[in-house]
Amino acid sequence: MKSGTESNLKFNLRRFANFLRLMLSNKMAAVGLFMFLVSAGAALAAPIVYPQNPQNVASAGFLAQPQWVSYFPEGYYLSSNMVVVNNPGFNSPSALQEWSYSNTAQSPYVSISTATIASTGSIQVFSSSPLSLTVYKTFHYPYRGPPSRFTLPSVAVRSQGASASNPIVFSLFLNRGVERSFTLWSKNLTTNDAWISPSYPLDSGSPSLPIAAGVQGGLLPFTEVVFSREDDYTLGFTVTFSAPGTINVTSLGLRLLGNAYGLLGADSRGSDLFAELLWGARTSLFVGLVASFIGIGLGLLVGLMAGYKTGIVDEVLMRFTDMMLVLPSLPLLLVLVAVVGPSIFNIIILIGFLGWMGFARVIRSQVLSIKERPFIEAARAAGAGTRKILTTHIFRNVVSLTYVNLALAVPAAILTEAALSFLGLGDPLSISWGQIISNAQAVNALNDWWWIIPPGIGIAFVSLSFVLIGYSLDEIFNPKLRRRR
Amino acid sequence: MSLRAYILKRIVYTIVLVLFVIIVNWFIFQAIPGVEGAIGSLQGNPRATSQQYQHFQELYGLNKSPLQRFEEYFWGMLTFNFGNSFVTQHPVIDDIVKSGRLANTVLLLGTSTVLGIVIGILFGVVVSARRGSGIDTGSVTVALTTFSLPVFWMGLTFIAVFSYLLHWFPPGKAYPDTWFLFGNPPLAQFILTRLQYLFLPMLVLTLFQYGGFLLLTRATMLETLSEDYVTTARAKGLKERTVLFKHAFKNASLPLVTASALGFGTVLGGAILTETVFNWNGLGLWLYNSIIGKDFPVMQAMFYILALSVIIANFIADLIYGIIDPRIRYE
Repeated sequence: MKSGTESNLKFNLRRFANFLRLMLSNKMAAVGLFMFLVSAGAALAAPIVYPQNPQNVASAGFLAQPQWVSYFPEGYYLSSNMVVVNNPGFNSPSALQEWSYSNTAQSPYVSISTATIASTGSIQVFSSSPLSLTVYKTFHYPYRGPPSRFTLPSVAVRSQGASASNPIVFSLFLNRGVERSFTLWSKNLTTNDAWISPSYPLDSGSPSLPIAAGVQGGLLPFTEVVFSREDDYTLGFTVTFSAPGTINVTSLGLRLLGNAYGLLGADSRGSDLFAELLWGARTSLFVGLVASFIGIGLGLLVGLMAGYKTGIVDEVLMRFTDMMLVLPSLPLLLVLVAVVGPSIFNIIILIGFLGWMGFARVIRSQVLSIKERPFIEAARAAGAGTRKILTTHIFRNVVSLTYVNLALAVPAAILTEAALSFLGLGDPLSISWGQIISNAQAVNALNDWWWIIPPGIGIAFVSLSFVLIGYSLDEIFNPKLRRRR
Repeated sequence: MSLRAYILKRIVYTIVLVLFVIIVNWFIFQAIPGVEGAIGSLQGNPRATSQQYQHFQELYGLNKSPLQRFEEYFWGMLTFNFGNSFVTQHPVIDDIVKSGRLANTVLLLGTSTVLGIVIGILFGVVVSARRGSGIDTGSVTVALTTFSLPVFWMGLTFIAVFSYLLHWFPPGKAYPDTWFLFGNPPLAQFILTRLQYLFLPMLVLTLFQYGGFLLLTRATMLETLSEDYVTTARAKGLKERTVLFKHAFKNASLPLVTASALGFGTVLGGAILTETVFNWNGLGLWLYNSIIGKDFPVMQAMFYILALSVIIANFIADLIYGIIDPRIRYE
């Protein structure tokens, strides 16, 4: 028995190898297979290269252009992403190395160190006399244009020895050269042992930030006011002690989001478009494959039943198929998705359940002709039951049709999903190619061709790969279509 | 079976289909809690009086039994009396016909379908006679590619290239907004401007359709060209064009009739997408807007009308088939 299955497996393997060879000798099939492998590779690589769903990550400034645009003359003003502070959490003593201190830090009354309070790293400044001290980091901003956006983590300070009469004044600043200083946050610390953070986000898009810096009401965006030219910039904080005290500061960083990023730039939410493209391949392939499996499986079931059982079963099934066939599929899908809600699961089920009718008719007509052949009669004479005849004898004769139609159903499902996503009825939680295009249209970014073109090519690429595979399978299985040489 | 009996049978079948669509349409919208839920929430609201509650119950017919409501709905569908749109408050049928949406959609669909069929069939016939040549592989590849490209993506790229970059055509709408305020311009300008607005969406929908016709024509032609009577016609020394169109295509055209009717539902889907991309004020855009705005009477009416148009297209195809191919009557 064991050797039997083994030789069976060997036989099947050889058969599969022969089939592969036959497919690869067909030019259309080889191209289709190659295209499919490329897109499947992209889909599989996506979570490895970009572990997080790119929709949830702000990789660059809003509507950032691709990085390569900056190499062209018209991209001279573009800036790239910059991370100014390497260790904003002060998790190790070496974090102090990137910071400089004002002269007063040399005084014997001051000590600066890192300290960990309740597993939060911080920089700790102790002063035993009333004085003012600055901790800063100078960095060079190398771009001619301003960044698209800059963000600071929500800085937190904690004081000891401060009171209402003797407050410790903390002030966070960002300076351009030596001429211009922007205060991002300043606070009189009067309470002890509590972490205090700004009440507003330290984001260049936040309206509170220019107010704190005293430049509100200007015509220019805040990023342009601050980073108005290529220069040395300084990020730091000043502490003014009016009595002996200690202050701990953590989450002190600065991140500049450029307006040039990656291979394909970023969308209107700052998400990496190339990452979205890779992740979109996952959604498209997943929906296409699963939905077409469901559709073809249902079609096979209905077709086999209707073809084999004559009379009332056949009549009812085929009338129902004809009726379903007459319902316009996209309007029906739109209405149904609007009713049941746009989750990826619902979309797959609906596309699958609306895609079986054509194939059921094909299978039925095939079964009608197969079941009249002598070998079925022989099987029946040998005592084979309905199930045996259907599953082995008839099914084996329509299995090639199944493969062909499966390959041709996938692009239809992919295009349908893309259309749904484009119309805003896709799953908002899983990015798909249709959704990327929809996002671009929503902000009218049709001129950003790096945003519009790649997802469309992606859809066409995957669809075409299955169409090519389907047509060539048809040619291989159906000798009538083979070209006479 | 005589032609009359065949037509009668088709008419009965078409009526059954219409009833099926009406029933399906009813059940889809029964699944939506929409109106009922909203009005139901009024009941527990201390600020809403019971008169208001009654008023809304009566307005949306919720005080009737489901059977009564179905009866009302059923006759409404048959008499095209779909109630009022939630958004515009006009009768839905007025919003479809009097607003010019139906005319706009018919214009777009009609021109692109005719163009798609003509181009697809012409190329299909020509290409089938030169099987394996460069033009054959080329046009099949192009057809497969346009087949695989999403129709809305084609629309967006055309807008980007032909209106934003080259400024040849307007990027959307069926006609300029100024006409709405100041009335239509003189006839010549009217036609020219409308054609200009029509061109891009029509091109997209034509590209969407012609590929299927090309591939199907090519396939059926290849089968027909291997028949003996084609060889006979060639042996008689007939011109190639006569052989192709008069002898071969006439017989190869039969499956095209059914295919174009069955494909009509898909074309409607393409029209919805094209109208949405081009902001073309037709039925597709309106269906889309009603879905986004949860305008249920419009959704229900639109789905019914679209399904009805597919049923009618199939009925017409069956009639044509019965007339041009007498064999079908003896099935």
